[in-house]
Amino acid sequence: MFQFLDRERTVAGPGFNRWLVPPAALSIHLAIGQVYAFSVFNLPMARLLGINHSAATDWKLTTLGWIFSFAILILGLSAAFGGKWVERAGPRKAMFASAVCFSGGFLVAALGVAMHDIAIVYLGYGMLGGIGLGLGYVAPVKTLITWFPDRPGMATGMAIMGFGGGAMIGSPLSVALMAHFQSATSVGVWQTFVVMGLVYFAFMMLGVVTVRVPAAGWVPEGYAAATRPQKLVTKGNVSADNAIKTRQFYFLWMVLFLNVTAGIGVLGQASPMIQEMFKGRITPVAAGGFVGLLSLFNMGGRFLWSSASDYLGRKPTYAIYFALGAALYACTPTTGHLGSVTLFVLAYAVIMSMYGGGFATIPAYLRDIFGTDQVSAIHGRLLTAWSAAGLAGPVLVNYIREYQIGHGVAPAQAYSFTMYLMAGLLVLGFLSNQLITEVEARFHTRQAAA
Amino acid sequence: MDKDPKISKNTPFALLLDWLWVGIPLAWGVSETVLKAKVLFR
Repeated sequence: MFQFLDRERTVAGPGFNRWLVPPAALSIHLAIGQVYAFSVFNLPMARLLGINHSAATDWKLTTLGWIFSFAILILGLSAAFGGKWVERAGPRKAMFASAVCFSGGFLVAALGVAMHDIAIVYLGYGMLGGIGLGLGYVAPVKTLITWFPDRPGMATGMAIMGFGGGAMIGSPLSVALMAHFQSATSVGVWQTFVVMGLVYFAFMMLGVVTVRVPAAGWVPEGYAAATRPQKLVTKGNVSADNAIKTRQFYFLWMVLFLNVTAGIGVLGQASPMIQEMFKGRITPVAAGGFVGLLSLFNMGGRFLWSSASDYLGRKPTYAIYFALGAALYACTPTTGHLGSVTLFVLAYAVIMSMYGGGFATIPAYLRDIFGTDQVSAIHGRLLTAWSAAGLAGPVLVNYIREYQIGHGVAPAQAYSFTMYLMAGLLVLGFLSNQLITEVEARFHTRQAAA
Repeated sequence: MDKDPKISKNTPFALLLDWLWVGIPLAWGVSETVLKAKVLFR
């Protein structure tokens, strides 16, 4: 029965329309992107026993915050350790495993919520769901790159845009389901988890069923690979095991780590930050609108910047992210002093578009540097930078802010320092990007003699 | 080669259906977010 999932069963026949593949990838990324909306469950899960209020025996928000952190940590680890399996198994089997784990994570977490056992929730959504996130994130990358050798940035940008869009679906869906299942004796969380597990499984099955890999040697009609060597675009292939022996891998790791750290720390603070910087002018509801606007730019930037990188080149695109990002971060305190909400919002919108763009352009950058052969596995290993940034970003921002406020700095001023720090991180990212060169031929995989 | 052509017929209809499958939820999510973001400009 499971032979259907084998790689050889997914090889497309002649005339297959490659535009059927992006929806397959999107069905996975739109589903797993729900993880970014997990925080909507935190407050309801903090009153599972008290229902209308948080009882003494209810879970604390700090306890609940670990579910998301754990899931993101496991995402990075499973992508890193499961990447080579994804290469061997092919996209359909990997997407199916992702769907089983991600949906199964919801069902196990539902059991944990119903039994009020946090360990089962960590194990379900954090561990099992996290494995689903990691496998699902890297599974369609190589497939898209091989179908779109002419526009790899656009193709992977489309899928990774889905990850950004997933939260926009997951958040209102969760709120609507919890409102539906809410009663005098239940906040409706476990029932919502069960429904979401089943719905997401069905939704992800479209990707499993429709994904195809091109036949060996296939190229799009009218496509001719560049005959002249292109700067920083290799014609060779580097294995995942060899990639981690190159300095280019670690510069790329720093590029992703610094770009994500600079974005993620501030993203989590966006709502209180705009309220404190424009005290009396921005209400909590308007601040919620600001967060929504940033999500839109984060998602849109993933597709637009990544597509633009096909024309600009990957290294210049990252140079723009870092240089423009640093300049905008350095300017935002001034917009606060000027009292210009419009300029402040505009600056952050552009910053967030480049934060998203940084995520989406990295697979194509890896393809350029290491070749297509094991790009999913290499991407998986590079995603540990995301897990590290997920921990470092918020800790850095929160710690520095608390330290400053503890030393008598006004809250609005404390944000200014944070922004200068973020600008500094992006300058480091700029330097790391500038140090990326072509991989030496000794790391390339030797082609078997014909 | 492709052993299950019935599942994904390579037709414009299949293409439309696949894009609607992902496009409709995404459009709903985006519209919900746009409504939320509009509050900022009131």
